[in-house]
Amino acid sequence: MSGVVGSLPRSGYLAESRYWSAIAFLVALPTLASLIIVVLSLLHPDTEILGHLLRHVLPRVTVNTILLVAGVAMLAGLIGVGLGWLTAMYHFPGSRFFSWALLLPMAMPGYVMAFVAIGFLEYSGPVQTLLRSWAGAEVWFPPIRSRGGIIVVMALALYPYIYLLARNAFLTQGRQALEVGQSLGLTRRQGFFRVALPMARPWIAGGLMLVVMETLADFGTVSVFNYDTFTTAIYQSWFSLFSISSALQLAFFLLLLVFVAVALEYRWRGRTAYITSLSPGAGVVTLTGAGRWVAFGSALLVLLLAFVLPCLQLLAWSIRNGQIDARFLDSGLRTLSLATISALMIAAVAIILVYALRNAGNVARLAGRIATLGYALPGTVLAVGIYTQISGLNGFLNSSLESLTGASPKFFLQGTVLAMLLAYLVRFLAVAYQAVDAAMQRVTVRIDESARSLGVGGWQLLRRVHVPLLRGGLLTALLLVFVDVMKEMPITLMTRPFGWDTFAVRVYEMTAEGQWEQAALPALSIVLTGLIPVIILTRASSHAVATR
Amino acid sequence: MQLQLDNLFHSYGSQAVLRGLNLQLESGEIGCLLGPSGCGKTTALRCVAGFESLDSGEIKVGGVSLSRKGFTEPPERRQIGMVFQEAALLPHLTASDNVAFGLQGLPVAERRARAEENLAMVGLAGVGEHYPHELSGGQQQRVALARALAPHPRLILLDEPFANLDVSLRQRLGREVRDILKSAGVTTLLVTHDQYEAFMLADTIGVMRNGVIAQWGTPHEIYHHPVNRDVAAFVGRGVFLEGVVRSADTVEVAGVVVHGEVAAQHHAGDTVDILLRPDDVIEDAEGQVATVKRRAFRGATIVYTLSLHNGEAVYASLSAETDYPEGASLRVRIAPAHLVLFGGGAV
Repeated sequence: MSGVVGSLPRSGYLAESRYWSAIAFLVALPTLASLIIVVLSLLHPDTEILGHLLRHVLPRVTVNTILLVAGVAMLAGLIGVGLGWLTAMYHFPGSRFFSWALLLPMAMPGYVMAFVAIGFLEYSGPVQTLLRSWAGAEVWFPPIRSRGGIIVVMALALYPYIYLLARNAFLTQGRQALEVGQSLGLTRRQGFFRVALPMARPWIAGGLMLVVMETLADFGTVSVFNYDTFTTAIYQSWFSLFSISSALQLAFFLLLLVFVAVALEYRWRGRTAYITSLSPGAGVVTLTGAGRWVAFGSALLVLLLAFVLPCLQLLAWSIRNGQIDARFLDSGLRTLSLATISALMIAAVAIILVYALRNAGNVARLAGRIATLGYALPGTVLAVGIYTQISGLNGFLNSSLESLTGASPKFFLQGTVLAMLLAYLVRFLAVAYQAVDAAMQRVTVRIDESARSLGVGGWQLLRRVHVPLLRGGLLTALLLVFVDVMKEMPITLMTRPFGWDTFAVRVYEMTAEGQWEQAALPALSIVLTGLIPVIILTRASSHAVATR
Repeated sequence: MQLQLDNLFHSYGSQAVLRGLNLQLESGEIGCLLGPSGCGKTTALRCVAGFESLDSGEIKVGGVSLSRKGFTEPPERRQIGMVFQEAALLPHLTASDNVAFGLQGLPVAERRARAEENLAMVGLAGVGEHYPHELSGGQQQRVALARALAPHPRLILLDEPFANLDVSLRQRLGREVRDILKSAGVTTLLVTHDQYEAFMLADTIGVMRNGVIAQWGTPHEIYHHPVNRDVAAFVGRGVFLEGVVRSADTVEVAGVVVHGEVAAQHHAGDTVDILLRPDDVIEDAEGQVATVKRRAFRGATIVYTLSLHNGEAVYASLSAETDYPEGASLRVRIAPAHLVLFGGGAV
């Protein structure tokens, strides 16, 4: 084999595929190790605590988690599919505005919506106070801190995933589907249930999957509601029982649920595939009479509940009680630097992984799969897995230093930024990878080859072809990871260095004490920053649909 | 510049792809490697471009060695332009900037002028400011050609450049591209599996089989004097009928005697296979009776599949005015302009 050119057509100028494979496996290692650690933990049960867990904790959190996931998936599915259908297929007052505005709740983390809802609707909150002043002290109000309450809140926070995908499916094939249905004698309504909905199934399944994953992984929202699930149980065995092994065992059961969800989605989607064929123009129906106001009203209601009212409430609390003091600025600076560093690091690793998989063989592709699995691992599970790895590494380093030097150094890697960054890397690599990889699809082998035949190779090729083509995807990756890290709660809480406050940590601490008003300003900061990528990306995607 | 391929060998792993390929193109000549997929033609092209290295043999351009065992001049230093099946334009650059992409080291004004000049040469004056996605497939392919020509390469390589275009566009563009290449005076090596593309563009065609050139010649030679059964079967339409050599200038086939020069290696009494092209069978009131099995309308002509009295099938390309329906009978004569014979069974 020549060192200048590889023998396979797809290998480019950086063609030492063995090194690239090694790099891909290195990137996959923390994810793989976390999975193995969690599974192997079953071999060394902390019997005393495990007994307690099995008797008192496991049954309750299992039931709670499953009911929560089922409820959220159903409600979010109903809202997402319904609104997706309305905005894709009908004209009604404001339909164009709603089509993108209904994505805004993506910027609102569930835990923010949760404490706003509780603060707004609890016994001492403004709504019930107002009701009592009208109707007397005995007026009935549904309990907000209930399973129903949390399901509604989480569904409102998570429906945009399903809405986005379902709407896309209906836009790209729904009209055609309806026309086929009508040509076979189905009414529009029958067409929806018998043609459009089944055709959109892969997309809806994908959206539901994201919602289920997010619900299983959620820690912040359930904490605000004091609703015990696996994530809160893991957190408590870590911080209250100080039992890493029982945290690991709980993590195993949570992981099991994740796998069940993946398997269910796989079966439900079956052999259906994503087929995109855009039939332009035809078939948007303008609603008339009562129908248009029903459509308008339901879209408006969801937007108000999921975004506008929470924002207004946050704003009111922030103005009334928010203090831009040293503590706020300090946590803001921490959040900013942490999110920036993580975004840069994770985007860099994503680029390396994309290049590694581009140049390496099929075995490395497996490594790539594993490396991007982290998005499916709940933050609490990851925190435990990464902590165990880091402390193992730490022990190894300490003891080998001791045997080498005779002195016994006592340094600690756990509870440093290192552990935190590693956990973020595993969790968010997939986000950055997908953005960079999508951009990389444009840099085909032929593009490389034609540039080289024009005398442009090596670094020139990177600078003049790859950098300009990857720039957009890279910016998307940076933006998405930045916002994700900023919102992230369980990993930050469980792996942060002592005394490190971020906005998310502040929100957790304040809401844990019921101080909604103090939590408002950091929460508002998170929401406003989170709006940036939502707006940029919705504009980009609506532009893409419009110009196709 | 002159291109010379000497005894090229190349393999992917244990799979030998080139097995002693030889070829020479004179300066300004347009050569074509024609063959079915898997015959090694694209690999040969990629070796010339420098994307693949040789196991043995040597590639020389203008007498300078670019590839041999253990040495491969990298593509970016070869000054060999290449046009791919997919235009592979840079999506972030305008058509004009794409054409100027390979013109490094020139002043900006000159680069612009050269880009415009080359765009005009491929008939695209005025689209310079368009981005690739705003151009049609045929336009993109022209831009790719202009881009490859702009740096005045020593050689141009075309890898199935029209395969992604529709048939009518392919024919028009094929003729235009030949004119462009000829007026630029650039030596060109084309690779294709489409014989009409090869006939349209090339001065000389090499029909490739199993990593070697089976026949090297002009389109006329390839079509009318195929050296073996494989070449004959791959190029053009036709059938083989069994016949018997009667003398040095007669062969008996399907019950009739046809005249023509019989190559010296065939002797009277030998059983041979005779190649009959559709234009070797003509309508003749004195001829033998044949039945129309199928017909394919081609505009000016109709290509009939005919069944002869002894059950053998031949093609006949007749004037469209004949217009025989399927099942009709007519009288035809087997009248090849020249005899193409292969020994019975083996070649």
